[in-house]
Amino acid sequence: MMKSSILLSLILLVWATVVPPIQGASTHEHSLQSHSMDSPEGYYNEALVAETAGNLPNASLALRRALVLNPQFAQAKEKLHDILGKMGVPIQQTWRTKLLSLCSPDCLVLVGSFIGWGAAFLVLWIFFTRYCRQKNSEKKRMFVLVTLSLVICALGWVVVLLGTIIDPRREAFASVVVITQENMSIGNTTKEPPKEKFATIALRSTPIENGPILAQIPAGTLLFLGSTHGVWSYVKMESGLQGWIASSALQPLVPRAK
Amino acid sequence: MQILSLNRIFHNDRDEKAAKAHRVRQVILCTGASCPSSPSGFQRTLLLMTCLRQRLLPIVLGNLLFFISPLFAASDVQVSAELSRHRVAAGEIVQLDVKVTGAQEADVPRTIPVDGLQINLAGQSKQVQMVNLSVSSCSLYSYIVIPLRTGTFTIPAIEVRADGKYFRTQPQELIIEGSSASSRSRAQTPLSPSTAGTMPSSVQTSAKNTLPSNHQIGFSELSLSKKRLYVGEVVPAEIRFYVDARYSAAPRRNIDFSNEGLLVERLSDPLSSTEERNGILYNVATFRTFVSAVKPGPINIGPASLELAVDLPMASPADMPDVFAQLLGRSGGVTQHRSLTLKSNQVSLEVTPLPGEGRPDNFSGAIGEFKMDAMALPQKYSLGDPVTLVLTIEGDGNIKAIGMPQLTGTEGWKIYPSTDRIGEPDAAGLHGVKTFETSMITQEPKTSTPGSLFSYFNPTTGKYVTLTTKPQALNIIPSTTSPLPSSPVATKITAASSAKALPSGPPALAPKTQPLSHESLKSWQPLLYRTQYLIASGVLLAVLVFLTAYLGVEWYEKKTSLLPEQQLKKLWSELQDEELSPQIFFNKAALYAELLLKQDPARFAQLEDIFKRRDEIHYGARERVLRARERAKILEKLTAAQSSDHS
Repeated sequence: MMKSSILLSLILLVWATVVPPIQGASTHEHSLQSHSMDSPEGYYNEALVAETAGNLPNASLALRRALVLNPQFAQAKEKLHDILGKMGVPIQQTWRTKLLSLCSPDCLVLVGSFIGWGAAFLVLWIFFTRYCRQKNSEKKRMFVLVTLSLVICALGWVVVLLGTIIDPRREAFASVVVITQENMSIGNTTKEPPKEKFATIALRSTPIENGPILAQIPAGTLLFLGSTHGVWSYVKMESGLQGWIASSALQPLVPRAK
Repeated sequence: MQILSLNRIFHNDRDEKAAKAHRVRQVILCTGASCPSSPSGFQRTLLLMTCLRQRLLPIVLGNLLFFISPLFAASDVQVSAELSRHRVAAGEIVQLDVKVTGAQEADVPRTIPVDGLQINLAGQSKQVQMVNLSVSSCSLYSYIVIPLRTGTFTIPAIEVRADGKYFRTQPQELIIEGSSASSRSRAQTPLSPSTAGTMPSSVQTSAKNTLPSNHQIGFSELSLSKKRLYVGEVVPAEIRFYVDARYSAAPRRNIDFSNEGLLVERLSDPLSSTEERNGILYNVATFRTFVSAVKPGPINIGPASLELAVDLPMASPADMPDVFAQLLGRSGGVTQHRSLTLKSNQVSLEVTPLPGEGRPDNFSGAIGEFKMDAMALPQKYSLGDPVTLVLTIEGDGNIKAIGMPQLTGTEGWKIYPSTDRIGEPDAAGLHGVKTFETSMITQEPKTSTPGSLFSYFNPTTGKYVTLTTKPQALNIIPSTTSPLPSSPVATKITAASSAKALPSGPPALAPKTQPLSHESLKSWQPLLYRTQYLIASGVLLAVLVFLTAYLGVEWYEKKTSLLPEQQLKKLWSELQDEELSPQIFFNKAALYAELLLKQDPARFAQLEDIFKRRDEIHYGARERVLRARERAKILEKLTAAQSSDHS
């Protein structure tokens, strides 16, 4: 029975990883709005087209989407660094991005789950079939085994947690990218001189057209969306700076369902 | 900023004490002796009214705080004594301050008996400070020390009674030197301020209203560490402004230090110090900066000038009553404001052009002595990840003007514009560190970063020096992404549009900008959030709970099934005891029989006699006697019943 249970767990976990998600059945709050599955290569190709057309902000958005889907997509990573460098958008390397370059979050979650569940069943088996049936003198050895299995179980779930924390998809639904548009009246978008043809948009401390400017954000910058109130959105930068920005200048990182 | 700093410096504690000592001296001079230049009666009245207006308000407020302060004052009492100067010439007057902190009341002696010195209490002042509703008070008792002869004296510990307890100060040593030598040297120096404070009292009486000249109040000095330098070489410069510590001075304008043909960095915040020159104590404000020449040839630097407003104390009216004199201060609160400009000396420089011979191509103007280090971060990288080459240049020289070193062996790397930052300089400000960080990306498996070249001119040797760093070793982390197959799967852009759309980049990069024909489907949801994962986890959790329950129940049943056997064993051993009373024996035998009947109720006929016998004994139907034969018979019945069970 024990063996069959462990076999069942393996089958279920493989099924959970391989089989596409069930449409509309996700617990995530934004899942109904977005595509459940997408192709990082498709977004990479989109970025190439946008770059050729001179639309670097849209190219950066497509590349960011590709990297959210596949954080180890080397070509997209290089292209994004190239484009952001041209646009003057700072590139920040964090411990998450460094860890993502070493292993994929899905891999971490899967391996951690196998270890966690396997160790949990092992604890059960050792406790009832070995520990409880031993005489008191031999129980000490079994106690060490049970403790060791519990530690392995905890480690497995820590790995699952780590894989989830570094997963860029976790925060992607609350992320937006600044895509400035032509003839934008609100937010006082300022055009740079012709040699720098990438516009910036003002981050303001109050949601008023002439509110005090906290920073000029270049197009292509990734922001975290707090809330949206009409034409204004409250956003937070990676540096921690928070303020109001014109909603029309923002594009969600996760595309909405067509 | 500089004006504020100067204000702070020229109004420091020592300055206050010196000014106070000066006022005390003037009161001593004015009392008793007649003042030849005393003002008329009307002028004296006006002067008195001005003094009252200037002094009474602070006195009233001070007394108010004095009386309120005991309500909040702290209880930690500290007593200390300090001499205004420890070495003076004969005839000079010294002030001894006894400071009592944290006490409401303090009693100090009126006079301190020391052979060769006359020490009398001259006055008292109290300072009350309130910080965050915590009030601290500080009383200052000022003594005038008049030397009667030369020699080394020790003022003994002064006993102070504060808040009912006795405290003692530290003994102070005072050296009185012969007056002739010091007076001569002061008379010879042009920088010495008023000699009133250094003269014996008899001499001061006649000279007390003689105000010092500007040159006697303060002066300034400019100094450079080198007089011969190269164009662009940075040389530290120091400007020092000296003001007699007895006068309070405040700057009116910023320092004027404009020079033609020189680049002068912003002056540092002034360093405050005191310095004794020719027996006179000066407050010194020292400004440091760096100068560099922009053209060759002889150049004069300086002077640096600073305009000050100086308060010069005046003597009080001769016939002012002692009560007012005590209230208004020893000098009568009368000061004269004077504008004073301190101008430093000029320094001549000889500027030499940089030699053209041996100048490296990559020389960018760095002059000094430097060393360079390189480091690559991270040392393990995946293809497509940026690698940062950190170049650190450290040394003495024009560190701010240093440009990015030249990179060598950059083939295959895409180099991004570098950023630089300057570390905190040392105290002298000439030694510094500049760090350049250059991000670079490669798609080829490179095992080392580019190298670097940096050239500078060493003014000490008069030669150019070129520093190099070796390429930094790198390790490649193999990517887990499988190579993309070129199967013709539908893409989001058509082949035709991509052919048109592709940018015409350099040939080496062209393959990387080709659209990808392979597509893989990835979920937008993290694995942990997916329904399948949650279902699988739920099922596994259910299986785990079920198994736990199943195995637990099984284990419990096994554990409890052993109990009757153990009970039977225990009862049997107890029944073997021949000293048991008949009642207890039959009770245990009946319990043993009940356990056997639980296992097999069909044996009731065999064991019925045991129950009957127990009841008879229990209810007194038979005598309570157990004979050996009967006992053996019952044990035999139990054994028979158990053996039939096993069979």
